[in-house]
Amino acid sequence: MTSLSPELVMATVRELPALPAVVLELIELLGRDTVASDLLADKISHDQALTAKTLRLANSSFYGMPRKVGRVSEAISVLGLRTVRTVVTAAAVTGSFSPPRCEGFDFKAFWRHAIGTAVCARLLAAELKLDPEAAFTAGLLHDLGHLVLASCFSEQFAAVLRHQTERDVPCVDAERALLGMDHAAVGGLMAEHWRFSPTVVEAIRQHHTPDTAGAGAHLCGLVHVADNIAHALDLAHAEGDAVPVLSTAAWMQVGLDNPRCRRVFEQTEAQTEAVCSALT
Amino acid sequence: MNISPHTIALADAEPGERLAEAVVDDNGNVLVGAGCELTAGMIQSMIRRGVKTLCVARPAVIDEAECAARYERARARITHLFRHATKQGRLNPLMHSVLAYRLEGLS
Repeated sequence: MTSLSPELVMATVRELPALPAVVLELIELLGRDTVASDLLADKISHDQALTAKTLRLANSSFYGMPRKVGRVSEAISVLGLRTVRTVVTAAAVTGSFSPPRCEGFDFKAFWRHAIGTAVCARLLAAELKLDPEAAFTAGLLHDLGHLVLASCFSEQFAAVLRHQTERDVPCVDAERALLGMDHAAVGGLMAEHWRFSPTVVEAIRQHHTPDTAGAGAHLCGLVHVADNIAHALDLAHAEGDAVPVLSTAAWMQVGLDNPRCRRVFEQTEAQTEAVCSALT
Repeated sequence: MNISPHTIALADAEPGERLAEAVVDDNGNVLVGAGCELTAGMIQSMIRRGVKTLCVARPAVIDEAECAARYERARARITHLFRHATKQGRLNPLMHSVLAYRLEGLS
């Protein structure tokens, strides 16, 4: 089987349908505080599908808004621009891929796990006083590489999934053995292509190896633990699911005692349902 | 706690219980809505109107064998999910937390 290289992956992801221009603009603005919100609300509102999905998530019980909003500008005034940027990005990314024709790839389970990880990462960020918006986005996109592989390299990835099932090995081991690259590296390239912040890109690229992360180690460790919890809570409802090996350092960094652990588990389960209903 | 609907005779209803389904008269008119908490006055009123049975929400009765079977299914699923994470005797604090969370109330 042909091994993948970063160059081949990059050349292929450029062929994927681009995110709406306003979303790319939002991603670039994620790190800035002064943004003309009226102008952005107006631009978002021109994309009807994106607006509908954005409002569905904004109005879901996940955000617990005091009243229902009917326009993006209202959502910004109630939730704040930073949160709405996360909501719009989530709405755009989940809408940008069609179910791939890749044998063995479960599209629904993929998004259930991604959303569960995003929800859990946001809860952990609140516990650790880290940026909840970056945590949600990195959690949602941490396995983006699986989606890219299933969409762009469907035959090779179907072989990886067969290998994984037949030998019951972790997915990263099967990917490295057959493709020479794993989904974390592929997802990192895709996120870089979409110009997410270097911290979010690193969290995606190193979510299975948080101990070797650089400047964004906190976010990386948090996404690693959120990914583990989402697998452990069986949120994807996938028979062959498996919890990856846990980094002790990342677990210690998150530092959940029993009562907080229980609270995070309960809220992750409840909120995942609400976000899945809004986004999928 | 698992709650499930139970159809009971009106004579067995107790104030403070919650209705799982609305009580309707012979013409289909709702006398008391689903979710309402029963009071002694409501029960007396329903007796006067000839209501014989109603459906209340009560804790599900799970026998010991069913409880043991659920415990075993939950434990087996968690062990299966953590099969890679605990290979070669690796300790996994998350597994212990999830086991405690899932098995609570089943033992």
